[in-house]
Amino acid sequence: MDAPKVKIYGLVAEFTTPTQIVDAANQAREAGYTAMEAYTPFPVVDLHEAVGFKRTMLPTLAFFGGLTGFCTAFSLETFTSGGAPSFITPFLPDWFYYPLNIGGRPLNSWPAFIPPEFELTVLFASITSVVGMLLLNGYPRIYHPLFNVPRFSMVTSDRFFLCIEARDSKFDLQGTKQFLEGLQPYEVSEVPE
Amino acid sequence: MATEVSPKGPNLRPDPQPPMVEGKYNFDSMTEKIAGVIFAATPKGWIVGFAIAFMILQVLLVSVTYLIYEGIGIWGVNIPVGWGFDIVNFVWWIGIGHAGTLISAILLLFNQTWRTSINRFAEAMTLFAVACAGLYPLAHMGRPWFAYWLLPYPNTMQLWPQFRSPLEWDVFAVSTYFSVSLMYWYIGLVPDFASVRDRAPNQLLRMFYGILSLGWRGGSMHWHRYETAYLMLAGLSTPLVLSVHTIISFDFAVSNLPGWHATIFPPYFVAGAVYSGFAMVINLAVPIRHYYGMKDFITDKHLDNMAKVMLATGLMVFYGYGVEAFMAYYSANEFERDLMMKNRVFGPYGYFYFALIFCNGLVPQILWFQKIRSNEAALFIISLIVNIGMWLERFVILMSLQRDFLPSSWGQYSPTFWDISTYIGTFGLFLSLLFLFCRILPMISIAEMKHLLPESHVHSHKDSHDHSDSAHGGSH
Amino acid sequence: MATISDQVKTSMAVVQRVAFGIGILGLGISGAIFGFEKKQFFESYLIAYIYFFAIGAGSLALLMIQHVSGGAWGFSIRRLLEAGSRTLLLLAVLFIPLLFGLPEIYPWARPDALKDRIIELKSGYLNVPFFIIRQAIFFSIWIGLAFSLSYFSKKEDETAEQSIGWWFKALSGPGLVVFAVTIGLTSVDWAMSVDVHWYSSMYPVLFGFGCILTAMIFHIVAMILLYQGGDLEKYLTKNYLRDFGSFLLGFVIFWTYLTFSQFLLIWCANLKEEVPYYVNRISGGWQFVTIILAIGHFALPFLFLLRRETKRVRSSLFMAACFMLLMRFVDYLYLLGPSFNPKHFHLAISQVTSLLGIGGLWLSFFIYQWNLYPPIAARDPRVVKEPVHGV
Repeated sequence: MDAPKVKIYGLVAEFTTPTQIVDAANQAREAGYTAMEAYTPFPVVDLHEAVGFKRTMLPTLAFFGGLTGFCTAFSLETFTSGGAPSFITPFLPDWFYYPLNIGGRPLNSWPAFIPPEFELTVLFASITSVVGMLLLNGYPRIYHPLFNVPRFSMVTSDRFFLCIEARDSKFDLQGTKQFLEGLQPYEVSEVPE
Repeated sequence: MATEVSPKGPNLRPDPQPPMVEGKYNFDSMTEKIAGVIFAATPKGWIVGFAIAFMILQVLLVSVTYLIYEGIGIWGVNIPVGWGFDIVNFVWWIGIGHAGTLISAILLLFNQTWRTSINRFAEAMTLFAVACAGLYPLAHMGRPWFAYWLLPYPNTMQLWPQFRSPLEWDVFAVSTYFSVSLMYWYIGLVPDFASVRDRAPNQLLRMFYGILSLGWRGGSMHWHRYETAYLMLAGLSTPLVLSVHTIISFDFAVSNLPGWHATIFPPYFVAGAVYSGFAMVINLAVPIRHYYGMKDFITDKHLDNMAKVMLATGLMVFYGYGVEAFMAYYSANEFERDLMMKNRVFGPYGYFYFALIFCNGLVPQILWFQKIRSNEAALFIISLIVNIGMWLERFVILMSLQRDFLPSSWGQYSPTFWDISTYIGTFGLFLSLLFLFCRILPMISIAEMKHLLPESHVHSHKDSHDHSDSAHGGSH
Repeated sequence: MATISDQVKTSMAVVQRVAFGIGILGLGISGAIFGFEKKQFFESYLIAYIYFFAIGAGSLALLMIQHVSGGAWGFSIRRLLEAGSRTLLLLAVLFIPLLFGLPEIYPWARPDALKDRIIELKSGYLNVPFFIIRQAIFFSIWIGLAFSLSYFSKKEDETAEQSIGWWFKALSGPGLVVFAVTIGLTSVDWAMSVDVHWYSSMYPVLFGFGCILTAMIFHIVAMILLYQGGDLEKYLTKNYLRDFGSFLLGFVIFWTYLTFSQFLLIWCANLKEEVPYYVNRISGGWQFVTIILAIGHFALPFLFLLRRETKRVRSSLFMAACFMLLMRFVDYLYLLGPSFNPKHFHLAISQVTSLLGIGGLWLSFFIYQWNLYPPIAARDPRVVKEPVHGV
């Protein structure tokens, strides 16, 4: 262990069952660690709470995404079809105002405008939730220090990893290593930056 | 105290549900089984199948090329039947796509774990079917390079699309449907791409799948956001799939034509879509589980469940026929009554109506019997018949065009060679894409399948964190 | 063995007696109104009757659906659904007065009806004898289904035979098919034929689904009230409630979808034989009811139930369900009110009294039926399999 000093991203402990990783995360959090993350091959229920994260704000984001979609479609259809009230129309640019009489239907044919409004609501909400999920998670990120640990590739198969990061104020290489080994992992390894 | 449980250890707790995974699997062997298909040598059957599909695809290319060169006069459409095979096939294909969304989204919301092993290829089926469907309106334009005129933008005349038209709603609906299905499918694939990446035999493939996986690491917060987004997409797709076929039914029902203007069309079209979609899933699942040895994952229980859904939606469709016929009588409207009794049932193509009742109404009734539902071959044949029946249904509805209000403007439609070759060609497109999918992508969701294994349950023996009432099923 | 808590038991007895009293009183006043406002009485009576019929018929449909689909949600309210479906017996009796008022309600039942060409064309279906025969057949089918399902339920409690599960499925599968057909025709008979020239093929679906929706809302309210205290409380955990909250949300969206599709198609077509139905509903004061429904039956519950916590918390789900129960009545009022009074909004006193009358009797009968069986079907295979919460 007296290799030349490389910058350390953190320490990672490997576990073999989901129960172990939940227990390990709970103990690490109770021990006062904050900058850590547990990696699993499939979602383990409420593990993020054990690690110390809160619920995601994604649903709220998606709600507002959907609202934006609805408003977009609503104004697009109403304004371009000339369905807006007369005190608004003078302020609309020419290219956004083209009233047409279609089969004698009113300019503001709001019932007929609802299907596209619905579609854009769904489209915008979906894009918000997918893009929001990826960006909040920091993806795409093709490279990550954890990939330097050879055994970490098993995280997508059947192994569970708890990584305590070096930026944690409580982190100290020896002490944290001892702590992790106390959790009876399969193996503990250093993650070079 | 902590017993070192090896991954190949004994099952700790018997699953309370009837098993949706058969055989002895653990996380690792399951990953290997599904991802392994990708790096194994290409099976001979695959090459033959793909070659055939690819040849059929050429039929499509030739048909479409000639169509663009010559114009849509090569099709049998003409006044009064301005829509022919193109809309029938458009509706048919897109309907097939709907089962994919139903399986992956609605069954997820209902916590039906049996969806897990079939959702990936059902979603793929959705995308490919929508791609096939999308070809028809584009081709029918005659000048497909002006397709962008449909999009909402102010053109040089500062004219906007006609938002009161169901055909414009279609543009919104189908493009939204395709985009959302694609996103849903892709984010479902991301963790599996990571699994494939970590098993790639060489650097090039590792990079390829690594880029596709976006660098997925599977952190707990990542999973949490991922599951939230996935559930929200499922929640959004459910009304979306309803709306798509509803809007397609509006294409017909908004017109004031006898036989078309029926308010029951929306739910009845949706039920029909799901019906044919499930039939197609069975048609694909039966051979796939055979040739790839996936019987442990796509079990007889799956086929049984799908057959039940097919029976239920089939009954709904049949109910729709009944309501249509009854309302034609009840309306006391002479055009509706004549359409129903004279044209649809006994007019030109009247025998199609009886064929439709036979295929969609009568044949599936044998699915009431457990024996039939557990017979692969019978299911396969019934599904084929249902798919034919659902095609006939759209054709029968369309043929109302032959007889409208004025007898002087009646006419008869018959498809030409090019109508038929285009239809056959889309099978080539669909199957080619499907073969490619089976070859290069994990065809069953690896991460979700792991949830079905008993080892995935967390046993909370710590009383400080009691999550026992939500011990499995990540959905909230 | 799960039992009802004592507190619920005593208050249930009180409610049963009070409801019965209100019922008699309400029907008495309605009867008095009948003396001088015959037409008014029958119109109000029909609307109030359909509202409670919807709960009874919807319970039967939900009962069969949960037997066929077999989700855990169905198991926890199974006995409520059974009791609800058995109220169809009382509802059949309460239907009899309507038979004396057919000409008051239905244009096709009037003596001079056949002078109208359209009615004449429909008269093969819409005529008084066939109407009565149909209702007799339908009610016997529904009551037969309801009581045989309850019979096997009782048998399941007494014996531990596995074969009884087969009966539930064998009755429920075909039962649902029969139910769909009969409820569809019922919708035409009772409600659509009030506007005798008008027709819409969505109507049977909308009506049938309306029954299921009303019953679901009623049973959410009933479950939260009746399972309080004691060991039934375990069926009110967040995970159980979440399922019901999601159902409520999904059902509300689906109701809106059906209603709006019908409206949109008729609005777009603008045909003279169809569009009066909606013209009556967007003018003369009825447009406010339309707006109330759009907001109260869709927008508010949708936004309220969209939040995850509302679906899981008992008090908020209870509030939402109670509010929806009210909105269901507004919907039934809207279904027929504008057809009876097309020119202007009208809410008669007899509407309130007949609602209280039928409702009071119905509620006391429902409580009586619910007390006949243990509150939880303890031998249901689902309870054995998954004691806490399952899929």
